[in-house]
Amino acid sequence: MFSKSFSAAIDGIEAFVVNVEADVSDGLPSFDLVGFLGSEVKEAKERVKTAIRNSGYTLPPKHITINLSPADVKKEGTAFDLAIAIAILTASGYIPTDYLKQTLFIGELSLDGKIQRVNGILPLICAAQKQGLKRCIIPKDNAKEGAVVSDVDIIGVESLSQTVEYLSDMIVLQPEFVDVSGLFLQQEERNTLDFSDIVGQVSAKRAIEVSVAGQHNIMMIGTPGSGKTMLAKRIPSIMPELSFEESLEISKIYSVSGRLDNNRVLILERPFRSPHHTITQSALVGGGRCPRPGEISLAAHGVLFLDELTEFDNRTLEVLRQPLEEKVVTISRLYATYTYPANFMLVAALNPCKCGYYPDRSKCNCSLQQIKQYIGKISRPLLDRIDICVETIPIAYKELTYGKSQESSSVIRERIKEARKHQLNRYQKSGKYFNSQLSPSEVKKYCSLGEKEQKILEQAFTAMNLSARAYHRILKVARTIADLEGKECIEKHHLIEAIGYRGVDRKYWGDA
Amino acid sequence: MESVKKNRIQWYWISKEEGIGHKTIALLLTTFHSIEGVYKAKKEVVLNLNLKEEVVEYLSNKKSLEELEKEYDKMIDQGIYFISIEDKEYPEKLKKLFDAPWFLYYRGELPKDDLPSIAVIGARNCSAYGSDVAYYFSKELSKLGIQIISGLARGVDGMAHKGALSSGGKTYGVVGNGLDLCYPRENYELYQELNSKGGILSEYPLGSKALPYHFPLRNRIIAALSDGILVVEAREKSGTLITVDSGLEQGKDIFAVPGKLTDELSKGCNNLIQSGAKLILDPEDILIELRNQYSSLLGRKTKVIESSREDLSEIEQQLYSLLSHQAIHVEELLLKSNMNQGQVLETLFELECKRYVKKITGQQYVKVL
Repeated sequence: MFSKSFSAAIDGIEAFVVNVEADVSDGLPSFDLVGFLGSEVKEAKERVKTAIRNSGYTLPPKHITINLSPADVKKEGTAFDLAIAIAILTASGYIPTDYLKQTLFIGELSLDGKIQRVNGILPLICAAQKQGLKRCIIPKDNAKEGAVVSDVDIIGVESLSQTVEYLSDMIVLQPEFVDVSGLFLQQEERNTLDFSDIVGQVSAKRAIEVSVAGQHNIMMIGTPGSGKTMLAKRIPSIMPELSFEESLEISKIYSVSGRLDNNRVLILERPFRSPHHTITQSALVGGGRCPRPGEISLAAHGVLFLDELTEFDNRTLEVLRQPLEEKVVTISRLYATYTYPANFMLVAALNPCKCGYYPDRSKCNCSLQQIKQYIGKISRPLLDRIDICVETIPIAYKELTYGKSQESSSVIRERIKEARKHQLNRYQKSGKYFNSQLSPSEVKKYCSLGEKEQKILEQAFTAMNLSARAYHRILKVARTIADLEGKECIEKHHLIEAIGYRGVDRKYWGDA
Repeated sequence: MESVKKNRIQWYWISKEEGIGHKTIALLLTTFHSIEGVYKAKKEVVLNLNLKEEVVEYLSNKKSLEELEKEYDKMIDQGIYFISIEDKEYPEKLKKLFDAPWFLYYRGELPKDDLPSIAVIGARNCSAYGSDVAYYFSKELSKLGIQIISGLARGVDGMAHKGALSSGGKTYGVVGNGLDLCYPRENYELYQELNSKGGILSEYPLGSKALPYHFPLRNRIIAALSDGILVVEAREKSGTLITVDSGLEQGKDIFAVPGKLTDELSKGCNNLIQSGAKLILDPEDILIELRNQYSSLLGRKTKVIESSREDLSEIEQQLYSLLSHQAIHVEELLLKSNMNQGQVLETLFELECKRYVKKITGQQYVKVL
C-alpha cells in the first residue's frame, strides 16, 4: 500500500516542503530509503524501525520503500524521522490515509519512540504556511517556537504513539498559542543596558548616535579601559525597535542555528554579537560542511562588535568586505548555494598602538613605525568601509563623581528614528534605506553642497591632507548629521563634524 | 689616468673593505707613506703587520686600477660621489676631527665651509611637541642661510630636515649605511629631496647595512660638520648624547630646548642644561652665538616665538588658551570650555585652517609653534 506525508527541509534560512512517500508491498522483507539523502537521514532507517517497534506497533515483514521528494535536492538532518514513521504506519494500515492531509510532520525519533527537538523549526513552519498546509505536528519542545507563525495549527507531541493516537482521534491535543503582539509590547522593558549608565564620553556618544542614524560602520580607538566595550554594548539600545518582519528574519537565523527554545520563541532585541578575536573565517561568515550561519548573520539587524580589531586574523577580517557591501553573504557548496542575511552594523574597537597609550608620550614608547604597523594591520579596503572613527579617553575621577544626569537611550532613540524617517523619505524610489548605502553618483545627487560649504571642504582637503577616498565618506556622514537636525541642506557645522570623524587615514595617523 | 683621479680610485679601493677600520688605515699609511704605497704593497710586508686574515687577503689580492675605475664611474653615474681626505673639496670642519674620516661617499653636495651650520638632533620616538620644535627651529634658522645638519633618522632628525626644506634652506644628512640603501625606509621621500636640496653623507661603502655600531661613529661627523648642536628632545640615556659628547670634545656649542621636569623625553635636555648647555627659548638664542663667527648673520633676526595670537576672535582665543603642546582630546575641551560640541569643532577647524593648531590623531589637538 502506498501513502504520503509531508515534512520540510532547511535551505539556508529558508525551507521547502518535502513529500515523504512510503510504499509497503509484498516481496522479500526489506527497508530502503531513497531521495539524495545525507548520512543522518539514512540513519533514520534504524531509528524509525526501532521506534515503531518500541511504541507497540509491528512492522510487517514486507518490502518497504521510502522516497523523499524532490529527489534531486540533498536532504540533511534528523527532522524527517517522524514523517517517515507516520508514512510507514499509514501504509501499514495503522492510520487512515485521509488523516494525513494538510499536515506537516517534523521531529527526531529516539529508539523508545520519544520525539526530540530539532533546529530550524521557524523556517520549516513558514514553508508549510506558504505551501498552504493547515496543521503541523512538531516536537513538544519546539512547539512554542513554531506557534509564532499565524494561520497554521501547531500541535506539540511527545512520542510516536501519542501522535498516532492523536491522528486517529483517540485523544485531543490543543494547538499551541503564543501572544506575539504581547511579546513585542514587553520589548521596551527588556533592555537593561542604557546609555545613561555612561558618564561623560560626549563626543563618542555623539559619534555613535550619528553612526546608528545612518547605519554607518564605526571604529572606536582608545586606551585600555576608556569605555569602548561599554559604549558598544549599549548601541542596540538606541536602535529603533525591531519590526515583526525583522524579528522574524533574525529568529529564523537563530532557529536554524538552534538558539531558540520554548522560553525564547522570537528574537525581540537587536542582536549584539561580540566574537572573540581568535574566531575563524567560517565561524564569522558562516560555513561548514552543511553550512550554518556565522556571527555576521547572527548579528543581522543588530551590531557586530569586533573588540581588539587588530588582533583578528587578517584573512578573517578580509572576508567581511563582501558582506559589508552586499548586506548578504553567499556560501557556495558543490550541491547548493546558501544565502544568509548580513545587514549588520560593524562596530570595531582597538587600541591606538601596541601599548595602548599613544599619543601620550610619557607612557608610550612605541616608535612611529610600530604605531603605523599596528594600525596598518587593518587593510585599506576594510578601513574604507568604516565611515566614522572616534577616540575615547579615560574618564577622570572628578567626572565620574559629578553625577550630572545623562541622556537615556530612549531619548537618543527617538532622534535616530526621526533621522531614519528623513532618509527613508528621500530614498523611497532607489530602494535604499540609509545614507551609508549611497553610491558615489547618489552622493553627488543627494549630498550637494552650497558654495560656502564647498569652500570649506576644499580648505580642509588642503590644510589636512585628506585623501580622495575620504571625500565620499565625509559627505555621507555629513548628510546623516544634517538629517539628525532635520535639515534639508548640509551646512557648515555638519561638514566640520563629519570631517572630524575621519581618524585613521593612514597619511595622518602617527604623523606627529 | 690623471694623478688626482688615480689617487681617488686608490682611496676608493681601500674604502670598499669595511673590515679595514680607521686605525688600520692609519697604520698602513705610516708604514707605506701614501695611499699609492698601500695599493702597491707587497704581501710579505703586509703579513708582518699583524693584520686580520681577511684584511691581508684584501690587500694582497687587489683588483686592477682599470677595473676599479669602471666601478667608480658606474657609481658616479648613479649620482653617488666620493672624496678622500686628500681632496681639496674635503670639508675643512671635518679635518679638525682627530679621527676624521679618511673618505666620504655623498649624494647631492657637501656642506659649505664658509656658511654657518647647526645640527638639530633628538629622539626618534619624539612627542608631537618635539617634532614641532625641531621643525620650527630648522625652518627659522635655515631662512637665514644656516645649514641644518642631522641624521636622517625618524623623529626629530626627519622633522629637522623637513623644516629646513620648507623654507628652501640647505640641509645635510649623515647616515650610517651605504648610500645605495635607504634607512629608515619611511624617509625615502626625504632622501630624494635631500639629493637636490642638500646632501647625504656617509663613510660606509655601498651595500653596507645600517649596523648599530655605525651610529655612534656617524654622530661624530654630525658634530664635526656643525658649529653648534641643538638638542630638541632626548631621554636620559639617549644616542643623541653621544653626538653631544663628541661635540663637546670638539669644542662645539651645545644648545638644549628645555622640557617639563616630569617629562621622560626631556630629561636628557634638562640634564644638559644643568651641566652647562645653553638653554634655548628662541632661535635668536642660537644666532647670538654664531654672529661673531659669521658676518653674514649680522643684523639678521628671526621671528620671535609667539605664545598668543592676535588675529583670533574671542571664542577662538578662549579655546586656543586651553590648548597646549600636549595632545588634548575634544572631550576635555568640551568640559573645560563650556561650549557645545558643534562650537568646539567649528572653532578648532578655523584654528587648524590658520595652522595654529594641529590634529595629531583623530580627535586630539596640539598647538603649533
